[in-house]
Amino acid sequence: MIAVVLCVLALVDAAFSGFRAFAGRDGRINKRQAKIEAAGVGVVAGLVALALLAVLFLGGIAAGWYSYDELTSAGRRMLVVYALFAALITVGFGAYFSNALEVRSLGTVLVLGPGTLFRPPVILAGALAAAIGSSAAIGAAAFVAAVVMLSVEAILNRRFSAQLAAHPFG
Amino acid sequence: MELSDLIVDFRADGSRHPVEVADAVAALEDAPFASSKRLAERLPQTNGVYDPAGVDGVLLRSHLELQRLAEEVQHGQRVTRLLRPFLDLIDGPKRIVDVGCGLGYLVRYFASTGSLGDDVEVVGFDFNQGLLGAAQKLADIEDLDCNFVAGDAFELETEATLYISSGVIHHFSVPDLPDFFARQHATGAAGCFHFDVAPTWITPLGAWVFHRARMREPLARHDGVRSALRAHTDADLVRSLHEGAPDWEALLFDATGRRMAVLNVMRPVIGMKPDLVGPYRQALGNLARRLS
Ligand SMILES: C[S@@+](CC[C@H](N)C(=O)[O-])C[C@H]1O[C@@H](n2cnc3c(N)ncnc32)[C@H](O)[C@@H]1O
Repeated sequence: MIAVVLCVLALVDAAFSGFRAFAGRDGRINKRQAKIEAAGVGVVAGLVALALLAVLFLGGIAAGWYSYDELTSAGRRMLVVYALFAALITVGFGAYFSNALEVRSLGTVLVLGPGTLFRPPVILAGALAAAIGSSAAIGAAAFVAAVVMLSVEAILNRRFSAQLAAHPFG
Repeated sequence: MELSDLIVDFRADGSRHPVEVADAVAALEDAPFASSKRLAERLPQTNGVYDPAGVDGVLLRSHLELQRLAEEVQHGQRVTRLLRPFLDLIDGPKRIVDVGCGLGYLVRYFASTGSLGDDVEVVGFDFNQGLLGAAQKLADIEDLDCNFVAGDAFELETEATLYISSGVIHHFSVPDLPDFFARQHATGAAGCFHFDVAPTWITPLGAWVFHRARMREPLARHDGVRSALRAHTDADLVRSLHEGAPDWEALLFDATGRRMAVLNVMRPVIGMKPDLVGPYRQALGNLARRLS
């Protein structure tokens, strides 16, 4: 269960990463379809990242570095950090759908903008929470997971930057 | 100084002149952060002269990121809700000129949504022809009905019912502002709405957060943060508007320091013919409370 929830959060995060990497690189006014596709590209990148991590974690279990139960209990601590962050972002995102321009701004100014800046430290904090009280092997695995998720956005940024360079006008 | 002002040299006659890197760097001698100079030194160049195509690429990417910020804060809707009631007061065909339109986001937004009503022609005006060319291409891709005109705001002759701008007037020094307004006033326009960053206590922090979070191009980040530091005060704007456009009434929407101002960082200074002020307040409805 813990693993499933973490995977879902990771995919949602990857979808947002795809959107952010796309945003600011397409000057058209109407680009709803392109935004959805960008989020889709993010999800695909997230799936690849999760597949890599699955190999790492299952391989680690097979090699006897840690047990599934140990991983789950570390994952639970990781999830606490990410769930709190996700709840905050959900509130900000909710405001984004309000009709009142002022309410929308509040969500953007207080939550979504700063949230983007806090995302990398929060991802690392989740790994730290997982590592505390765990074995060194689990701590290392948690940090690898964090770094992989952080690199998803970097890779997406390169992809959309190359796309802009090749087709500056869509 | 904003770097974007230093790295291109477009003249009112439409010509473009080469810019020496050393000149741009020298102009940054007193810049508060060394990073400004370093950035100017690193922009695309050949033999000590900025490379026009390279610089245009940097500016295009920066303006795309600027458009993204405008989309995120729904700048188009914010401007529409103030302009539409004004335009509806005026009979017949109308023409809006967006001064310093850059990539023409607002112009294309109005053309695409038709949010300003029928019989409104939208024109983008800027002295940077590289950006105007890109704006026109973007308009063509979406088959939008709008035009772009090259020129200097201080030699403005393009006539309009209403002049607007966004994020432009902090590029001009306070002593230059009256002339900026006077040019528009002299064409016989009914008014102007110039949106720009308000210098609140939170503006520099907000600008830093958003340009960090949302922009990647170093020049865009740099200029975004600089612009917050150069924002004009309400008093300077109102005084300059009075001076340059003596027949217009000067108004502010969400004047700095009002509670809502933090949520409406791009607040407009507004000039309009005095007989329009009463009807405009009425047409604005509840929002009129935020006029001063
Ligand atoms: C910060 S950008 C804002 C662009 C656009 N209004 C927006 O909101 O994205 C400032 C723009 O003003 C233009 N500009 C600056 N000084 C100008 C002048 N004297 N005459 C015409 N355009 C000018 C620049 O070329 C640039 O595109």
